[in-house]
Amino acid sequence: MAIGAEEVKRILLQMVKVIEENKVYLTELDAAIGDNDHGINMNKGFKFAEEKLLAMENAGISDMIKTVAMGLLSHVGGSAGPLYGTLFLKASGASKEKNEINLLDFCKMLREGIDGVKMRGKSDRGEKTMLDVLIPVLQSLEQSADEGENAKSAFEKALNAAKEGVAFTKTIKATKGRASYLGDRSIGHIDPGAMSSCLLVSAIYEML
Amino acid sequence: MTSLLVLSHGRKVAAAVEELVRELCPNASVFSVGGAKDGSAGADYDGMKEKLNEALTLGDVIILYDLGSTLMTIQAVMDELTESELNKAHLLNAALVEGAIAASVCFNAEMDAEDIILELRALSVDKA
Repeated sequence: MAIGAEEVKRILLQMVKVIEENKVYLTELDAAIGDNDHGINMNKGFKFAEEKLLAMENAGISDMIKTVAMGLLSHVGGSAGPLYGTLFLKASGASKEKNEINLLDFCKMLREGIDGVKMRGKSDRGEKTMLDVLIPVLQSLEQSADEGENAKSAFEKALNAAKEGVAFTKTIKATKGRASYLGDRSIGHIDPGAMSSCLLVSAIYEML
Repeated sequence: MTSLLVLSHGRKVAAAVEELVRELCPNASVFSVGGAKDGSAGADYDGMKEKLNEALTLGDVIILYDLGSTLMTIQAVMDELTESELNKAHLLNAALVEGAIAASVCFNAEMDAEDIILELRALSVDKA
């Protein structure tokens, strides 16, 4: 299995759609333990990226992902901007010169993206962040790639791992970001960044 | 000439710190970026990029920030700098207002960047 530039474009546009559909929900999650703007901010960045994407014709995979990265960096305005911007920028770098990507390629893109997020946020798994979704997703996809699974079933499992990751963030205390000011009071709330990451994984799954 | 770049989540916070520095040191080269592009609380990647590049054309730049997304956003901007630009961009975790006041005094004394940085290191705070 491998997907080409057109499919990648459809997936990126689907990401815009799921974020837009969930912007109020994401912002509500952020109101509980953050600064009440995650969904609004993410939507600003993705809508800007959408405009740029729609104007691109016959663009390469890496260039389209980079366009999303720059849209998020420039227009999100909150910490999700540099974090998701870095995730997409690293994924773009890891897909340079690729006319199509298979599951192994995607794993490499996600791995480099995750490394970028860890570096940017000086964070790791278990701190109630998007990494609590992205890392289990990568592990699930790597296992599926090893077992030669097809992309649809690989992403079905990855989406389950993402949902478990979201649920896990509800049980733990935030030690990074503004939610960390709340200490134990952050327990019992879902991390908005973990949820937005899960939504992005669902967008990929839906379009495969 | 060493410049100061003041970064904050708040548009007015950044502008006020810049104004304070100008009052304390009228000849200071000071730049500020506050808030997101639309003026709401947040970080403005493009604004930071523009001001940092402008300041770098003058010489060393001491960068002070408040926290979180301001830091991550300026770091993303700095990822794009060349090696020689990076050597001139000094990101310091000094307390924002105190650091800006200390920098003003150092500018008045015409200290070079290296010495100003040493002074500001004494005002470091944990900005996770």
